[in-house]
Amino acid sequence: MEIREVIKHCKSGNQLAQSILFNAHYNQMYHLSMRILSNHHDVEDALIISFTKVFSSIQRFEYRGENSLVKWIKTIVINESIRQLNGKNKINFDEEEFPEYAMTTMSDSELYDIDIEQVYNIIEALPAGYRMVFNLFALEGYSHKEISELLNITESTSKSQLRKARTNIIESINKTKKNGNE
Amino acid sequence: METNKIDFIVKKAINESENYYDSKANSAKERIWNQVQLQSSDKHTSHFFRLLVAACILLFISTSVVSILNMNAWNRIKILVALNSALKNKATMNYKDSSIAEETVKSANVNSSDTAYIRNVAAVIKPVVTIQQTTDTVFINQIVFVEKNRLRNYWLLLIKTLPQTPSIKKLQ
Repeated sequence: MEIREVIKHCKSGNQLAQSILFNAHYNQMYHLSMRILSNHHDVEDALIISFTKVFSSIQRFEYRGENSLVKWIKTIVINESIRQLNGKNKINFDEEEFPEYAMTTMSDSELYDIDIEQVYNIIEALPAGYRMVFNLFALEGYSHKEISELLNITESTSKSQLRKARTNIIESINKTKKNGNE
Repeated sequence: METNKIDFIVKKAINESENYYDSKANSAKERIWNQVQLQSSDKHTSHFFRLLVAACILLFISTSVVSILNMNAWNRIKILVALNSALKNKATMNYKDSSIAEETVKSANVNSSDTAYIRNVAAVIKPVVTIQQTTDTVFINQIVFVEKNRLRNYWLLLIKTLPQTPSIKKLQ
């Protein structure tokens, strides 16, 4: 079934069309929510609410190309994940200025040599504020302005959070490399 | 090294491992789908109930308004009925009065046999003849045939019967 048809049938409440839409985007949204929340149970809750919202508000959705639907669902999932995170413990965005990290100790080849699991572990271990801004900026392609609006923070806070996240990741990679060498 | 290289490396690593959380995701997939379906139906039900409640509230409000209006109308009708009956009574009274008056007028206009109108003219009686006493001498010429022997008596009688005027007195 074409995506337009699926959307049309979802609007009329067709369960088959809803299941097609769910199956098509579930894994991607799970990964997105997991990168923000880092907790399987929280992700489950966020996804239940997100997909319920998707199906209940799809009437208002206007199809503008294939990416428009993915972007719309992503926005709902991100918003819901942020809400989940805020609901558990308010994200603390420390406003302290942080200098840009200059990584001189590692070569590019060393850096590219990092294990995927290590990357996931490093990201999961990041403080919630850093992780959120890094995910939105580096992985989802949001601008600092969009992030500031989404998280209700200033643009400079978003920038400083990103800097801190990057520094934290580099430090963690260094640490991992050192441990590996020893 | 530029720091945004980190972004690129992390992004690349994540894109290469799109299935990293798949096992966890798949284990929860059915549960999440069922919950979504349940919540959607719940939402529909709650939406239906919300509509029902809204409809009930609207119905209650409209019924209240209508009953209040009805009560007011009834009160107005009662007042109007009372006014109407009062007017009717008044009209009946007026009719009675007017009929009585009319009858009076009618009876006044019609000459019934037992009614007599008498014009009482007071007659002023004035004496037509007025007695005026005048003293005058009246001469009466009377031929009297008297027997010789009775002449004197006759004269005497005649004089007696005449009014006692000075000339008569002279004659006497």
